[in-house]
Amino acid sequence: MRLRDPQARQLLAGEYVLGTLHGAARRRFQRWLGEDRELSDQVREWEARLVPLALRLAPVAPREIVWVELARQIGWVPQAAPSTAGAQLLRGNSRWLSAWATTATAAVVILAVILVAQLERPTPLPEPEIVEVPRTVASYVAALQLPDEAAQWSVSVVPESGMVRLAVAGDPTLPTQQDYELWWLADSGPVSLGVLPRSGAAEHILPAGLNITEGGKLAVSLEQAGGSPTGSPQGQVLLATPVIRAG
Amino acid sequence: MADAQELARLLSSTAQGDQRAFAELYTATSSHLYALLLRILKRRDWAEEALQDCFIRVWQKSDSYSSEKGAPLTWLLSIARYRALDLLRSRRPEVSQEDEDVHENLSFADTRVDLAGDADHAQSMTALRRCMATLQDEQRKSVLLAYYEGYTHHELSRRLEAPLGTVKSWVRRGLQRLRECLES
Repeated sequence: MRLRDPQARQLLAGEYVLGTLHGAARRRFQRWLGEDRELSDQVREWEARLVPLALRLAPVAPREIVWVELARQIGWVPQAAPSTAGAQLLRGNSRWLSAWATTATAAVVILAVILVAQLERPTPLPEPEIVEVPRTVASYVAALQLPDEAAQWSVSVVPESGMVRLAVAGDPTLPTQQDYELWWLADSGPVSLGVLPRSGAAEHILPAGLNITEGGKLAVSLEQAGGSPTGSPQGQVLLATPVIRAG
Repeated sequence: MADAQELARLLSSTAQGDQRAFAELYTATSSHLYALLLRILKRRDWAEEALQDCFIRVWQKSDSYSSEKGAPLTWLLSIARYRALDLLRSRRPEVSQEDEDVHENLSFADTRVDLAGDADHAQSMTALRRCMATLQDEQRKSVLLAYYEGYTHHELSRRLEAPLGTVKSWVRRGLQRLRECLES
């Protein structure tokens, strides 16, 4: 450990937390942290000193899809959905309906829907039953040809797997400060299916609760890079097109 | 918002593989982490990706949390901020476009945050605001730009149109002064 001067140690810890310590110096500092208890304590202190800067920001709820994707990446297999657990989740926060439903089997989805119906109705319903539904793999496709845009995109939605696949042909002429965002036009309003990739292909998780059917519509809007910050289209809507059943 | 004790309990249950606790932890804290990630990364797709990364890390590493590592929310926000900095450095080659909203957040007056039920955080916020006010303008600006924009010394130097050495000393003196003020 070459860093002895107490004041230099303090400042380095501060600059590490602030982030101005970067590149090789940052990596070296991280190695020291593993073997220098006092230094890591100083880092904790700096984190506590500066955290009010983060806490003063007004909270922003992430889109539900983030949780869905998170649960998928962690590889959670949903619990066998005892009705009490399901009901608790639904009571607590409607977020969990969509979050859990997407990772669940078809049977569990139906259970959840029954539970929602139960919660909304004043008169109690009989105990929910788990219903097995016949599985048919359907996919829906669309080709997107946007005005003043050389590249073309293809969209393929497979409700069964909960995935949306997007692929681009050609080089987009759109400036990099902007992106095209794809929306499913649900009865309740547009639901984001993600940003159209600038090259190659991308796979996004299909948000839960969408009723994808032939003739249902996709739309594309022009948004800031990364997509609309609000989760609803902010920019100009460039295109609306129906999906066609492909399988 | 859940208080620190409750969050610590959720973290400890999460460490034992309790999915429900993890889900509650996400509900209680994700909007705070996401607000910070959006502020730094500016792009929803990056912020969402970073948020996922953070919580995957929390799921895998929640057993490494202990009260010595600070308040639970501080620990979580720090994970988020380090992740944002890494992502920013790997994807933002240069500071190119002017950030239209960069000035609006450089004062420390417009605090609007709901910290009901968490007196510790409210207190530290008041203290930091008081101490930020004791910094010289350039020092404060440098610290805040580094914090919210993830600027490096070089980026600060370009942004503030000042030599690298000058900017470095603004940051150091700013930090030093903050620490002295907060500890007094």
